[in-house]
Amino acid sequence: MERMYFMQSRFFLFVLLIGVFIACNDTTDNDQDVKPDDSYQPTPYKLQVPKGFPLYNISKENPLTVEGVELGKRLYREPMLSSNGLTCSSCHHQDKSFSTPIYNAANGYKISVPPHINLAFKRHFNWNGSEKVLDTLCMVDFGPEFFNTDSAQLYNNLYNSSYYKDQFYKAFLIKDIRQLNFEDLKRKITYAISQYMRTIISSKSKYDKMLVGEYTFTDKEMQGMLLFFSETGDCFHCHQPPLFSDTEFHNTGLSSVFNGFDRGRELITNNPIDIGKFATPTLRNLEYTAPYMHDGRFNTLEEVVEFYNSGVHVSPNIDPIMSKKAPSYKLNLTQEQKDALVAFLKTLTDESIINLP
Amino acid sequence: MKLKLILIGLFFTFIQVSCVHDEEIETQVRSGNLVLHIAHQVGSTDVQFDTVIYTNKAGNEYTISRINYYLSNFVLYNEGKIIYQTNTPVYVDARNTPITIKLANIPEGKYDKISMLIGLDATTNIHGKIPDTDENIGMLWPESMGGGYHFLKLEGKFNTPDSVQRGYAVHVGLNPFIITQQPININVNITDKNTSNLDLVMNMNEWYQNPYTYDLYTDGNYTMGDSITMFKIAENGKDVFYAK
Repeated sequence: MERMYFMQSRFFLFVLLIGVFIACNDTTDNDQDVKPDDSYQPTPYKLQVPKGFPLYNISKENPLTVEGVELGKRLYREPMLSSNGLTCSSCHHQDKSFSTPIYNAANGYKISVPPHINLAFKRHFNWNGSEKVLDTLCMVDFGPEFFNTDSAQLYNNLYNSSYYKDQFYKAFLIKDIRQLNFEDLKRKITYAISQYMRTIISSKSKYDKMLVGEYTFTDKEMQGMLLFFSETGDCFHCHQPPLFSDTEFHNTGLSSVFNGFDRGRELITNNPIDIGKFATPTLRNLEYTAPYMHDGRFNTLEEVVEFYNSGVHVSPNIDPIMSKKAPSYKLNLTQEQKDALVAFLKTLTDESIINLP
Repeated sequence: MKLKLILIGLFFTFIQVSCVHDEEIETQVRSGNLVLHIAHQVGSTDVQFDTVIYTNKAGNEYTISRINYYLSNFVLYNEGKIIYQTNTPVYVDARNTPITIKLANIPEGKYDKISMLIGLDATTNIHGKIPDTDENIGMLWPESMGGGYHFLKLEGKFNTPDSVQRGYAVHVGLNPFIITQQPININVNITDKNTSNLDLVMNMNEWYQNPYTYDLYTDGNYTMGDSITMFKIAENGKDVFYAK
């Protein structure tokens, strides 16, 4: 009898605990009637943001997923996207930190294409900020100047690839890419590529290692860093760590007459105040991204430093920060100081980027 | 059996109480919100970036291309007593209008003064203490120059006495130069669950006057790292805001 009472009590307790569990649980999860076939969702990708880096930009329409990043990585190197065999990586060479030394554009502009690193933290793209959204940055590449993509061929190639058939579903739940119109297909491709590009984060340079005590600067590198972050060198106002860019636009006195691509940001805004302004490039991986400036006018870091030391051109739109040394606009650095600055700039090289799998 | 039913009833009552969300059992305090609307003016007109030439007390003719700063430590007073205080810093880029700052959960009542810091107090003015974004990333103050953040960046062009255009960059940072906006007279009434509004205007010319008439040419067009110029600007900044 006692045993039966004990069993009854345990049964009551069990029922009560079930009741408690149900009462305290969020009911929304329990109301779902999930069919096994429809339950698949891409796996969220957690971007590993290095300490001190800013909040990254992700659009709600294109959240990072493990499958999307993998798809984008493959598409970045996929000749199927073009009718001429070109891929993103044809121009964005990994051994050059995903940059292009010089691109001679169809419109006659000569462009040193910035590296595809740390793009997740930027709010505009290209030298003049012509693109604001990373997710669709590559849409233009399907045009005649780059991939010259044949839409029928692209559908056919992707549809007949078991990998892409599978991966487009895994990344975007697209069961049949033929159901997408061409614009939507291109958009999904660029979404995947942008997901991959967001994962290319450069944060393992000697400078980064120095910050956490894993590398000791040489005397020259230290001297260069102190100059960089001083009013004497005054590089830091535009090239702020950790991106070594303030993500803004400046006219740093590269020219005093502005034609063609040299007009910079003004080509986008049509505002005369923006003449000669360009997005501040990152200084990370400079050793891989020569030549320098928007048009690659300088071949070496020494030339760049010498330009800021003695070659700044004055124009009405020159950035206020540049006229600190007015009326001469010269830094008057010694050769030793210039060498030190170059030595510091080279500590921003991140070899892990060119060795990424 | 009766006892068992009572026990079960008590148990369910206990469970019900345990499952109530925390916010439902919080003490109810009658409070409302205050939204600050920040404007930047010279005289009584909004700043026109880059194009309009202004004149300060020293006679400098200048344009404005950048107004970036932090606001923090908002304090609301009534009859000399601090009633409300919040230290959440807000980054302001004057080009990104409209600029609104919401102060939440303010106790119901009348308020006759507001004060704040232009910059960050010593406990916050440390790298990594506030979230870096792609917008405020340009505000870092190099460790080798003292560390922390720029409190203020004013930039633009001015004409020298010989009519040559030059840039200026009035930057202030470092703990000794925190800019304490003195209490501003206001007339705000906060009521329960309602939002009140307050217009605050930064008069740009005040940066260059009271108590120090600041001349961009003779005092200096670059202040960063210069204790004397930063001190003068910080002192002048104590009354740059007024309530409209």
